[in-house]
Amino acid sequence: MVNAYVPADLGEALRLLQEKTVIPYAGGTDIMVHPQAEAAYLFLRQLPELNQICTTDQYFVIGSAVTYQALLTQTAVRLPDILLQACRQVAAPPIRNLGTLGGNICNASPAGDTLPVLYALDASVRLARLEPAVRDCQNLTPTIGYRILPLRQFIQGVRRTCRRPEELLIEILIPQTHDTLTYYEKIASRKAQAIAKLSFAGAASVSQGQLQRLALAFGSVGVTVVRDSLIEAKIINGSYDPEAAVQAYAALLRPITDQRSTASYRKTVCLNLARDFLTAVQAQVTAGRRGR
Amino acid sequence: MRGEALYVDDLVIEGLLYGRLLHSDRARARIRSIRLPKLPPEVTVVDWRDAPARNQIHIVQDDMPIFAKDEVAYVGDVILMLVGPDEQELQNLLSRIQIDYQELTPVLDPQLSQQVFFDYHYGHGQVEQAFAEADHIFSETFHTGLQEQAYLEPNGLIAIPGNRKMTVRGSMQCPYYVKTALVRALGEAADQVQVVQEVTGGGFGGKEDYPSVLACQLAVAALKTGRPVKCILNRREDMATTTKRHPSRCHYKVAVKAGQVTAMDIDVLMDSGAYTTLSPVVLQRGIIGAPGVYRIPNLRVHGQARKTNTVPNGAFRGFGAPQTFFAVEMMMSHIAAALNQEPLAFKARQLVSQGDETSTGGRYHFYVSLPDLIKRAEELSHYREKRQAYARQTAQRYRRGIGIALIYHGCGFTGNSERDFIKAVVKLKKRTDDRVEVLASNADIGQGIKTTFAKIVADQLALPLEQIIVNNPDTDKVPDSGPTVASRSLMTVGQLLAQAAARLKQVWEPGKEQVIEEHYQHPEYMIPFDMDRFAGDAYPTYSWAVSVVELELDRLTGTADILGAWGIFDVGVPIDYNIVQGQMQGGFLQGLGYACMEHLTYSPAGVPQQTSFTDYIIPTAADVPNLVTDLVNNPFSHGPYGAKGAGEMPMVGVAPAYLEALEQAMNCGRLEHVPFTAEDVLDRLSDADGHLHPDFDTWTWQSKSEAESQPADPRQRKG
Ligand SMILES: Cc1cc2nc3c(=O)[nH]c(=O)nc-3n(C[C@H](O)[C@H](O)[C@H](O)COP(=O)(O)OP(=O)(O)OC[C@H]3O[C@@H](n4cnc5c(N)ncnc54)[C@H](O)[C@@H]3O)c2cc1C
Repeated sequence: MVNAYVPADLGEALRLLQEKTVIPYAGGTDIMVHPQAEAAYLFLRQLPELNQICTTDQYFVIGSAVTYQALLTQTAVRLPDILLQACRQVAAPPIRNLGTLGGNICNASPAGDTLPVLYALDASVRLARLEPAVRDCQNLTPTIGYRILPLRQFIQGVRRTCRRPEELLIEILIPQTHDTLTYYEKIASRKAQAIAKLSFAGAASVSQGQLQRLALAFGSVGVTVVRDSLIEAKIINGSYDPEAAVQAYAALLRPITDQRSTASYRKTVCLNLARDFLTAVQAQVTAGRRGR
Repeated sequence: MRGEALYVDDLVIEGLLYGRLLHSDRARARIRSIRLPKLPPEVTVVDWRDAPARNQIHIVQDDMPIFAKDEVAYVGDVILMLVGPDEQELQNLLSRIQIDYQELTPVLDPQLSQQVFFDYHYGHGQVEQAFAEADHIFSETFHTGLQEQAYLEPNGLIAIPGNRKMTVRGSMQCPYYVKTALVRALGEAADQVQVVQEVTGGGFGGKEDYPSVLACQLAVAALKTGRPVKCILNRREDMATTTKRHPSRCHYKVAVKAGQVTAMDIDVLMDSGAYTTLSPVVLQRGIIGAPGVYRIPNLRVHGQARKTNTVPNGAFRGFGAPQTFFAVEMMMSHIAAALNQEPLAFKARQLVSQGDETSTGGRYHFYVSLPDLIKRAEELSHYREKRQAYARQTAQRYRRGIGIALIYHGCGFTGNSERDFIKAVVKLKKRTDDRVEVLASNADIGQGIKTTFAKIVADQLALPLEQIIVNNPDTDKVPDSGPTVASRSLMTVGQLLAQAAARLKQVWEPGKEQVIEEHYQHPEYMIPFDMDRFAGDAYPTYSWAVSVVELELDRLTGTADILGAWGIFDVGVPIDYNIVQGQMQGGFLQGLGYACMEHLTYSPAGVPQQTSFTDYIIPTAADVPNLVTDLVNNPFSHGPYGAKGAGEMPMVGVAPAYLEALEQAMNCGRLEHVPFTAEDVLDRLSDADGHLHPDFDTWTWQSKSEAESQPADPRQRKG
């Protein structure tokens, strides 16, 4: 017998999460691949707090229960194109109508399509729970406590995050950077409805011939998305040219061979794409210098 | 579409028990002992000891046991069945059964197999002399992979024991095959076995032989328990343990003189898997088609199917032809390139035509429409222009290619089987309400045979379609009009129905029940086929097809986008245009999967590695957004309204067309196997960059003028 709870607002959801053993259920598209007969599910889709998309001074704020389809069709906020590109390549319309960004993150699969992009955009997540101090005091309305973690810290391994059992992921925060070059490729065996063999997201901000910001993120080639600040820093400060950077990534990336692809393919393509992206970045830098 | 159809799993049957199969998890082993957990009273074990007559399943031969007795021959071999009221309980119990195996080294590579199941030779002309006189001699080896049918509905049946009667219902293509297997396995008289086809969610050949296996297992279980027993394979189980397309290795040696192919010496090896199932017939069709659509004056063909400790391979759309047509089309294309000729022009100069001898010394009795199909394909695809343009492209990352393949399908059964074994019978039963029921054993498995049968009969009788009834075949009601295979149902059985309907019309008496029976007659023009010598007309006629694929390769990722795809077909005359288009489009995708995606491998221990749709990737419509399929009419005098075979063709030509296009886009030499995945593309591209040595290339080329063997240079190839 499956139990399900349908809270009306975030407060109720967090209370249920604290009092009962329930599994947060957003679109269910990961959960329902292996449904558990005995489990109790906490539905999140209907929560208004988790369904908003807005901007603040610094951030794009996306509710964790916003579906891919909603992200792709909303017109309120001009989201980074690279994120939309990744969303467009998730599965096929039926899954995009249900699947959420929050689910993609909390599922923490190294093949999650939005993760390399979110890593490259320096995204953070906001988690919420009922404050323990208030729990016993029945007269007070319980207050909700929040914490914000960089996504890279939040995801710890294959299907492992540092979400505490009583926490919900409520928002994804994406800094409003001014990237002058973004690059995204998902490599899968077919055009729709396929798990990535690997994916690559690159973002760079070049201003007047100066590389200000650089991010390269690789999906499906490690236990989590791979991003290396040291290599990026060396590229930014000029110690690595594209080829040297590619060599550094060659030493870093250790993909595996599985039923979907081979280690050598994954690595070769990652490096090909990194090289292609870095060459384009360099061209932008050179052009900017010339323009000065 | 009303969504009313019920699969066998949806049937509600009183007193039903479930059967779950225990599959071997070793590829080759003796069974020393089996330790069962303590079984609750409601659970019954069914194994080889329970087979009432003989522990063998009749397919073509009888080598597959109903339940493995003391040895297993592949991962998936069925050892026993647990039967009980609760499926989940059975599953839990299954996982607690312990088998003590004595492991033997499995044979996974047919080239290393010592056990030859089938070995055929045929040929004609003076092969040695032709090679001695040749200007050029080319040789090359090709490989094709496994392929899973990937029908929508997994295999599943219910066996229902009755009073001195065993009924089996479910998903199948060939009710009378299942019936024959049951009669032999149970030792029953034919009238004590009834087989009923239920709505079947696709087959593609995968429900031609396998249902006989499951039917025997379930019937034994139903006999033992005295209760109806149902088994629906789950997807992983179905993918891991039921028949697939035979992997092949084809070696071609070809003599060319004055720009024409004068001889072919062909050696075909098919991987039969653990049991023979339909391998002899698949191999026969494969080797008969091995010289392709070309006039080859001197021919020698050798074919073998050998045993390996892998899933038994069986029927699958095309039935041996996708393997050899792939090889011959690639071979012809490679020879053209070596001789600096445009492949299509080279091929077009040596096509067979009406009156020519077939590979087996039969005759192409009817008009060969290939030139018309090529013309149409060129009009639609602009193949030649693009082929030339793409040979000159200089782009680095994205490069294009276009390829074409020419194929046929030998319509219906191979050789004299219709005359000697099948002897198809159909009946039309006119009821008192003047509605007419079609009584034939052919199963609608999604290919639309109910529609086309009804259209034929309705038209002959000048009745509205609604007045024709076509039910799912039940062997207690329909005569044996043969199996649902090889595009024979419409061409052969449909013709019998047309004749029966014409006769009914002559004797039609309103309000009266009338039954008309029609028997197969072998076309008088056919040159009798000698199965021992492979001589005579292998098929009554041929359908023809041209496939064109245009793609753009991303050299950084090895992935290719299909820019355009065209399939031009001569199916005689389509009885139902939409159905034929459906077949052609679906078949094209299946061919595309075969060409570049559908990758199925075994671990060194013989365990299949891709057993779900997450890992075994079949194409979706998104992979070919712009597919054009077109028909050119060429009526067949002996088919209903001129119809002949259709369903196999769209599958067969795609792989060679795709690979020819890919070769052009890659521009680094010959390709020689399918599936050719993105991984393969990148491996090959990095080989060409000089990082690795090409050891894949089996191509040799001897020229008289130079009198020496030219080593393969993958960079030499020109578009
Ligand atoms: C056919 C199919 C195709 C797919 N294709 C792709 C693809 O191409 N690319 C891709 O990346 N993914 C794919 N997926 C996986 C899946 O659709 C995505 O990961 C999706 O984003 C998951 O979102 P969801 O809302 O459905 O997650 P759910 O299934 O609801 O949840 C996933 C996990 O996250 C937890 N969770 C969800 N929301 C929260 C929250 N707010 N707070 C705390 N925990 C939470 C759940 O408890 C669960 O553990 C596919 C899945 C299917 C079934």
